[in-house]
Amino acid sequence: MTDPFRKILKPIASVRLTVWLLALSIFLVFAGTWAQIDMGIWSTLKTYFRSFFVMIPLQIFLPRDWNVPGAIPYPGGFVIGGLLMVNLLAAHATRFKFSKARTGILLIHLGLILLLLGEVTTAMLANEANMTIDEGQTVNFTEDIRTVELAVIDPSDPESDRVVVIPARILEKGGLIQDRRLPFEIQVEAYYKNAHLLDRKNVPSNVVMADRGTAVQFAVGAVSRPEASGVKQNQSNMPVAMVSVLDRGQKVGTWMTALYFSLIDQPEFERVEVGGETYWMTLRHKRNYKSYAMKLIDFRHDRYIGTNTPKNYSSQIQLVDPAHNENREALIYMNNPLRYRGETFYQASFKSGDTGTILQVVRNPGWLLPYIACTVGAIGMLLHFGLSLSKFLKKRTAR
Amino acid sequence: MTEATKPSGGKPWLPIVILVLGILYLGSAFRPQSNGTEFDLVGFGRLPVIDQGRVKPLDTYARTSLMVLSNKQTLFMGEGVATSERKHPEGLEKTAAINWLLDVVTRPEQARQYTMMRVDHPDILGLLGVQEERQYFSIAEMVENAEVLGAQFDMVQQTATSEMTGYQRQVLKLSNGFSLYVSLEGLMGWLVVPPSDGSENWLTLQAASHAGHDHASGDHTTPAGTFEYDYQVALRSAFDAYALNDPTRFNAAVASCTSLLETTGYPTLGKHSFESYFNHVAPFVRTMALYVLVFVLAAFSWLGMSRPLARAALWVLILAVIMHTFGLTARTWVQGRPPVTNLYSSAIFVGWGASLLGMFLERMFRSGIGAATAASMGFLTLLVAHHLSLSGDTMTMMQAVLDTNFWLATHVTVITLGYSATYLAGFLGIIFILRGVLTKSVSFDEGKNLSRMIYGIVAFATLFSFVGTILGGIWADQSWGRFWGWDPKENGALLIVLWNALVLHARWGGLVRQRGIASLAVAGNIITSWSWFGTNMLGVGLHAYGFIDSAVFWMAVFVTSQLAIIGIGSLPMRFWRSPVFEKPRREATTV
Amino acid sequence: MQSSRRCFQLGAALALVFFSCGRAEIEEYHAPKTDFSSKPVNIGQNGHSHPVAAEEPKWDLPEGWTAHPGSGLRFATLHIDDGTPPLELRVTPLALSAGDPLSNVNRWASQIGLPPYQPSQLGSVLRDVNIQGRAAKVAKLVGPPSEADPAQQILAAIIPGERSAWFFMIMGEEERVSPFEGRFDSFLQTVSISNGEVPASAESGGGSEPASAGQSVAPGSSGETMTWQLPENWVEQPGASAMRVATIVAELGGESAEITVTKFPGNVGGLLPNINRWRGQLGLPAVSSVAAQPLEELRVAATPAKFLDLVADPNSVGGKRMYVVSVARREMTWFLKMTGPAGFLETQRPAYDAFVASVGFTGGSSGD
Repeated sequence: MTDPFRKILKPIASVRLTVWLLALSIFLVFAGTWAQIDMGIWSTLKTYFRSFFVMIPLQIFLPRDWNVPGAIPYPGGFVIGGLLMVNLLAAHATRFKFSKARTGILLIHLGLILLLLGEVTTAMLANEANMTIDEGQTVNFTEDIRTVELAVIDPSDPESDRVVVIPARILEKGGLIQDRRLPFEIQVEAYYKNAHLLDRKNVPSNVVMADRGTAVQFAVGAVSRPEASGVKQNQSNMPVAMVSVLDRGQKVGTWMTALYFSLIDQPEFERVEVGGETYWMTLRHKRNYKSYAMKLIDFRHDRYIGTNTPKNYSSQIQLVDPAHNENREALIYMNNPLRYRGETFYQASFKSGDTGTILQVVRNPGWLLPYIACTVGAIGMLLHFGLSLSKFLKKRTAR
Repeated sequence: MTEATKPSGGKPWLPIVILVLGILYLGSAFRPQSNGTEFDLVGFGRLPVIDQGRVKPLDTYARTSLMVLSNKQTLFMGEGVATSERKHPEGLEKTAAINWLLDVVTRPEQARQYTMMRVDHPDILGLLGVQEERQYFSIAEMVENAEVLGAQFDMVQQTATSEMTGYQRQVLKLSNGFSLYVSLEGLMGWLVVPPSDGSENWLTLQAASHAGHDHASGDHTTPAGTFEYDYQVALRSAFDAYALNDPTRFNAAVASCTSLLETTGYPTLGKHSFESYFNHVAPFVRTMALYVLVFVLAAFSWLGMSRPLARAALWVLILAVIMHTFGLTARTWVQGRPPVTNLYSSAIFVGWGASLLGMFLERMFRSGIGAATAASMGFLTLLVAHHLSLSGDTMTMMQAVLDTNFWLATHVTVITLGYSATYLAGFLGIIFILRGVLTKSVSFDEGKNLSRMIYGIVAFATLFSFVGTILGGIWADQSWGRFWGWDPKENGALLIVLWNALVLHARWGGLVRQRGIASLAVAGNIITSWSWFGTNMLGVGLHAYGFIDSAVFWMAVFVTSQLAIIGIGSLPMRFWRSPVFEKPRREATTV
Repeated sequence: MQSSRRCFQLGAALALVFFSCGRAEIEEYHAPKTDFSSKPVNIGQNGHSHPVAAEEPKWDLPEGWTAHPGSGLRFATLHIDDGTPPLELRVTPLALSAGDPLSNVNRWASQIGLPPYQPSQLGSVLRDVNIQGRAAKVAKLVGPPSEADPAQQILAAIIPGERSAWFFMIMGEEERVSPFEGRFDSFLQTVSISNGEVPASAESGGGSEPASAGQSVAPGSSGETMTWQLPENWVEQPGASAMRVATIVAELGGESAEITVTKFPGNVGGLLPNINRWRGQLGLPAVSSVAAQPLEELRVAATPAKFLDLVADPNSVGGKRMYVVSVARREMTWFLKMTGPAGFLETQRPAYDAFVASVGFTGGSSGD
C-alpha cells in the first residue's frame, strides 16, 4: 500500500465517517417512511431510495393542514449507500488485518456489501407484473399495472393479431406519431396521466372531445385530474389519451382511448376504419406476452367461519407451455409461490366477488444475493459476538 | 468470592421471607375456579363457541365481550340490577362476565337496563344529555336516544378511518359496541354447535335445530338423533333453565352438553377448560404486581442493605419471570401458534425478553440494576398489553399472508427479541443517567459495569435485530417476491439495526464514552418505539395491523421523557453527583 | 492498485447498465386472436353508425334508385333522384337502445329547425307500421323556412332488427322530398332484416316475441320449491347447484344482467352479514348495523321480505348495480339477486318487480 494512496484513503476509511453516514441513512429512512403517506411506496422508492438526490419537504413530518413550505436538500439512497460501501472497502483496505479475531467482522461487512449490491441489482433488473385470470379463463400475458400502452391491433391475419404498442412515455410527449409499423398516423391531441370520466354535457368546452368510438356511444368525455397517490386503497391512475387518426394526412376522426374501457367487465375497443381495413385501438396496461399460458381452474378464498377475515387464498392453475413441453397443474397460495423459468408467481390478490385471481409475477435475477448475504452475515455475527461473549464471560469468572 | 463476605447489611433471612410471600401471592392465583352460585357456571363457561373465526370457551366470549363494552371483565351485580360503575349501590357484588352474558340472553329486558356501556367522550355524553358524573350507560338509554345516536352512527360510517376525529372514533366504537350487544342477544345465531363430521362447518342453534329432520318423510316428531340436534336441545335447555332460575336443570343440561362433546370426540375440550382456567388465573396481573415489588426492592438496595435487598429483588424477579413465562407459554399452547401473533402478544413478549435478559444481568452483576430494568420494562410492557386487550379477544386469527407458523416463530420472535434488547439497553442508559446525575450512589466501578452492560446488550440487540430483519426480508421474498420493499414496518426495523450499529461504531471509534453511550442507548428507546408503534399509527403499508387511539398521546409523552433524559445525560461531568467518572486510587489493583 | 481499478470498472459497467434501461419504444409483435366479432355498435357523432357483423337489411330497389355501398359508418346510400347533388336515402344501423322514438324525432326536429316534441305530440309526426313482421316507426317532419333556406323535410323510418336498430332517412328541401313520400312507404315495405351469425348468448327468446311464460321449478332438498314467471328477454341458463337454484340472464340491446336465485338453510347468519357481503361485492364499505342500510319491506308469496338496491360508486360510468330480495321462509332463506350495469338495471326494474311478484312456493313441509 503506497503512502500517498494511504493518505487519501485514511479519511475515507474512518469510523467517524461511518457513524456520520449511518446517521444520514437513518434520517433518510425516517423521512422516506413519512413521505409514503402522500406519495405511496413506489414513488417514494424512486425519489428517496433509488436516487442520487432528494428534496425532503418539511411538510411530510407535520400535520397536513399546517401547510408548511420548504424542503431540505439531501443525498439520495444511492449516494449514501454508495459512500457506505466505499467507506467499508476503504476501511478494509487500510486498517483491517486478516486475523482470526477479525474474521467475524469481515464476514459481517461482506454480507452487508452483498445486501447493498442485491438492492442495486433489484432496482435495476427486477421486473414485477400482474396476471389476472378469471375462473375458467386462460391468460398468456402479464400486465404492468404501473404503466399503460396504446395498442393498435390489426386483426386481418386469421392466425394471429398484429399488435403495435405505443408506450405511455411517447404518448405523454404528445404530437404526431409516425411509424411504418403503424397502419395510420396518430396525433396525440391530449394525454392525461389521470382523468375523470364525465357526462358529455358536463365537460368544459375548451376540452378536447372525441367524435368517434366508445366515448360517443357512452356520451362521455374526460378531464385531467391530479395523479393518484396510490396510498388509499382502490386509488390508481386512470389515464386517457385523446388521439386523432390520420390516413395519409387526412384526419379520420378523434377517439378517446381510456384505460377504464379496458378494465370493465366487457372491455370496449375503438374501431378504426382506414383504407377499407378495420383496426382496433385500446389503451390498456402494458402487456408482456409469454410463451406459456395459465388457466385458472379454481380460486378459493377461505374465510374464518363467521367472519370476512381471509384465512387462505389459493389458485389452482394449469400451466401450458407447448414450446417447452409443459402441461401441468399447480397450486399457488400464500407463502407458496410457483417458480417457472426464472419467474415466480405469487398469490397476490383476487377479483372482488372471488371471481378471479391476481398473481404477482416477479423476475429478479439478483434474488439469490440477499440469501448469500444473510448466510455470510449471520455466520460473521455469530463468530464475532460469540467470541466477544465468551471473552466477557471468561473475564467475569476470572474475578 | 470475596464480595459475599463484605459487610453490606446482613439480614440473610429477608430475601427468604420476601420470596415466600411472593410464592404465596402467586400461588393464590392458581386456586381452582368456583361458581359462587348453585349454577355450574364453570362447566358452562367451558362449552365452545366460534367468534371472529376462533373456537373459544364461552367464558372467554363473555369476558371479552364485557371487556369491549365496559373495559372490565367483571361487573357489580345484585338483585335484578347490575352496573360497572365503581360507585355503586350497596349489596352489589363483583360478578364474573359469564353471569352477565347469561342475563343478556335469558333476561334481555332486564339486562338492557344494566349500565355497562362505557362512554368517555364528553361530546357523546352531551348528546345523551347527561350532566352528572357517569361513565357507564345501559342499552336501554342508548335506545331511548336512538334517533340522535343512529344519525351519528350513520355519519361515521361514511368517513374513512384515517380521517376520523377523536369524537368520531368514539362514536364508531359505541356503534360497534351496540352491534356487538345485539349479536349477543341473538342466541340462535351463535355458532355454538360443533360439527360432528370433522369438518369446519359449525352450526348456529337455529340451523342445528333443523339438523335432525327427515326430509324425505317431512317427519318432525322424531328427530334423527344426530349429535347436532341433541347438542342444541341440551344447550337450549341450559339457557331455559337459567331463565327459570332452575340450577338443577341447568347443571344437568351443562353436564349433558359436556358428555355429548366427549362422546362425539370433540378434540379441544381440554384446551377450552384450560383457557377458562387461564382467564381465571390472570397471570399477567400478578406478574405486574411482582415487577413493582422487584423495582422497589432494587431501588432501595441502592440506598442501603444492598446485599439482601438485591438478592430479594433477584429472587422475586425470577418468580415474576416464571409467571410471565407461564402466561406466554399457556397462550402459545392454547392458540397453537408461536408466541407473537399480534400487537398484544408482541407486548407480552417484549416484556418477557427484556425481563429474561435483565434477570441474567442481575445474576451476573448483582447490583440491582439488572433487576430494576427488568422490572420497569416488564411492568410497562404489560401495562401497554393491558390497554391493547381492551379492544377484544387478544387471541386473534392470523390473516392469510401471516398464516405461517415457521416465519412467525423465526422472524417475528427474533425481531421482537431485538426490540427487547434495544429497550433494555435504553433503560440501562436511563438508570445510569438518572442515578448518576441525581444521586450519589453510582461508584466508578458500578459505572464501568453499567457501561459494559449497555455495550453488551446493544451488541446483542444488533445481532437479533439484524438477523430478525433479514429473516423478514426472506419471508417477504418467499411471499411476494420482494426481499425489501421499503414499507414503514420494514423501515422501522432497519432503523433499529442502523441505530444499534451506529452506537457500536461510535464506541469502537472512541467517539463516545460512558455518557455518550448511555444517551445513545436512551435514543434507541425512541427509535424502537417508533418502529413498534409509530409505524402502525401512520396507517400505511403492509404492516399496519393495529391502530390505537390515545397511544399517539402516550407516544409523545414517552418520546419527550426520553429526550429530557438525554438532555440530563448530556450535562457536563461536573454536574453529575455520583463519582462515576472519578477513577479511585487503589492500593492493590486486581484485574 | 489493481483492486481499485477493477472497482472502477465494475462501477462504470453498472452505471452504463443503469442509464441505458428505462427508455420507451414502440414495439410490434403478434398476439393470439382477440374476438372482436361481438363488439357492440360504436356510434359516430352524426348518427353514423358502424354495422355489426352479419345482420343486413335487404330490400327491393325501386326503378331509378341506385344503391351505393356505405363508407365509414354508414351501411348504404341510395340515390333516389338525378339532381345534383342527388337526393339521398341513407341507411344506417344504431344500437338497439338508440332506437327510442322520442329522442330520434327530436334529433331530427332540431336538424330542420323545429322545436322539440313532447311524448304526447309524437302521434302527429310518427306512426307505427308493420314492416315484414317488425314493429317499425315511420316519421315525417317538415320544418319552417328560414330567411336563407327553404323549408326542409325529413322522411325517416326506424326498423328494429336483432342486433341493431336500422334507420332509413331522407332529408332535403321539402320541394324535392315530398314527392317521394309514397314511394318511401312502399320501399319500406320491401325491407327485410336477415339474421346473420348470431352469437349463442343472444339467442333464445328474442326481443320481438311476446312475454314468454317461462315457468321454472327450483329443486330443493328441503321440499319447498320456488316458482316464478320470467319477464320478456329473461332467459334461464342451464345448470343448478345445491345452493344456486337458477341463473337467469336478461338481455336487451347489447346490455345484459344476471339474476340468481339462491337459497340457504336457516337464517344464513342474519341479515347484516349478508348485506355486507353484497356491499362488498360492489366495492361498498360494510355497515355496522342493518339500520344503516336502506331497505324496503315487501311481501313475497305472503312472506315478509326485504329489498335492497345497491349501486357501486354512482359517479363512475357503467357502474354496477344490484337488486336483492331476501325472503326468509320457514327453513330456508331465499335470495333473488340481480346484478348488472346501473343504467340497464334501472330500465329493467319493472321486469324485476314483476318477476318478484310472480314468485310462489310449492311443496315443502307444513312447518313447525
